[in-house]
Amino acid sequence: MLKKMSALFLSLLLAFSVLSVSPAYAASKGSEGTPTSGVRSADPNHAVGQYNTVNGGGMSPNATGLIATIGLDLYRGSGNTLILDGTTNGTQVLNKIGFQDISLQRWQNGQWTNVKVWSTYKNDSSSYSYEYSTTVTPGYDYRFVATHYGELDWLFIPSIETHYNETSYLHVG
Amino acid sequence: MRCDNEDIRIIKKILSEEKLDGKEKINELRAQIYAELHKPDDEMDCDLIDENIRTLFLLEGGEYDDHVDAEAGLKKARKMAEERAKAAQPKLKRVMQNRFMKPVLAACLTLVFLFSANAIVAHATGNSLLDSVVKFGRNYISFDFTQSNGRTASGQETVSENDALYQELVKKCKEFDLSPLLPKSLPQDFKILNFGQQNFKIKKNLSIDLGNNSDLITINVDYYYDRNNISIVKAPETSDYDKLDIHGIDVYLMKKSDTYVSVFNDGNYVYNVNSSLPYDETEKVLKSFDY
Repeated sequence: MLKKMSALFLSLLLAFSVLSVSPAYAASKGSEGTPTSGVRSADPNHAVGQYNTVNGGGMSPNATGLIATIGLDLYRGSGNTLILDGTTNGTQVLNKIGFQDISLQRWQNGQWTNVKVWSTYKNDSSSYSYEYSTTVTPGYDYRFVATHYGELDWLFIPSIETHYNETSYLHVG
Repeated sequence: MRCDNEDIRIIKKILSEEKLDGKEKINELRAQIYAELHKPDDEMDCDLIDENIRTLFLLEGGEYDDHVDAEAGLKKARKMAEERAKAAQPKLKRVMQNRFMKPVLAACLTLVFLFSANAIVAHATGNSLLDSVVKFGRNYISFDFTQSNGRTASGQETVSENDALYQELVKKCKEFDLSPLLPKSLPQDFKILNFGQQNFKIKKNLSIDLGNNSDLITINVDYYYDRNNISIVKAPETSDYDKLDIHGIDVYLMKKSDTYVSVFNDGNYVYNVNSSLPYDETEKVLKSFDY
């Protein structure tokens, strides 16, 4: 009788242990669920911009022709660090070149939420290479979105060209 | 006009009843005079002005006798008031009243309109109005107002081996422990307009602008510490491109407005090279890239 009771007690204890671990594991994989928009990165450490042209791909001619190529990449650094690698190349020396509304986004409550939004530019340059790193809260999917920006001022009419870009997302957890 | 007893009586009454400081009253009377002088002739109350002047003389201890020419005094006061009003006018208004302003303004507006129209056309089509060729009737006369963007500065220079510039670029890159492909052939009057280098966590970046007064080549080179981070160069998704070969490396070349844009990587460095030279010269420059 005692043996049976002990066996039952141990079984219950084991079952309880397994059950308590499973939710924690599920949480670590993203209790927010899988994002319903955006592209999951195939590489867990490197998310590529969906509209990058620094490596060819979507390059296309356009009437304004201020921006030559663009690049936006997200890398996993050590720990919970994310690194943004951005490039905006102009076709000539532009009065203003850079990135408008760079957003670090996290998938939360069924949508992409902006964790931080900012812009950065360079004056009188033909290109702008930009890097930004930050530590994020683990347990979420993250991505960067940005608008590549180029402006040429001539007399009173500025000529402006913008291109939207977004990286695929990767999980930090 | 002499002061009579009635005048003196009124002044005394004013001073005693209102118990005003004499100075305040003087200022008030002067203000009334100036206000009347600013009115149009048909609205001006000359009797009030005259009365106020008489009162002022009395208050200030003077006499308002016959020999005082009230009309001359009025004219003088009016002229002073007009000068003060003119000086108080905003400068712009005075300038605008100048008779030459209208034709000058018309000329300026015409020039602004022409430049704006040219900018709008250039923005929309990429071609400037000033590039137009003008034809007159049967006898064909053509005017080419501008130099084509594609020509090098002197119009005669062609791309050839520019060893001095190439060696200078190699030396500058080595200062940052970098040795990418660099162009051996460039127009002889080209110089380094800008040389920038940045160190990031993921990569090192070089930004080089080469050119003269009219032509420009920009070279952007990235060296990734982890070669796995170098993306494979893909063909553009449009058919409007050329594919060149540099030492077995695929180079994709496309035209954007007046610039030729190219991308390639050699496994160590990722290159974005833009050129405002004509196609054949751009091709020659790209094919001359070497270590």
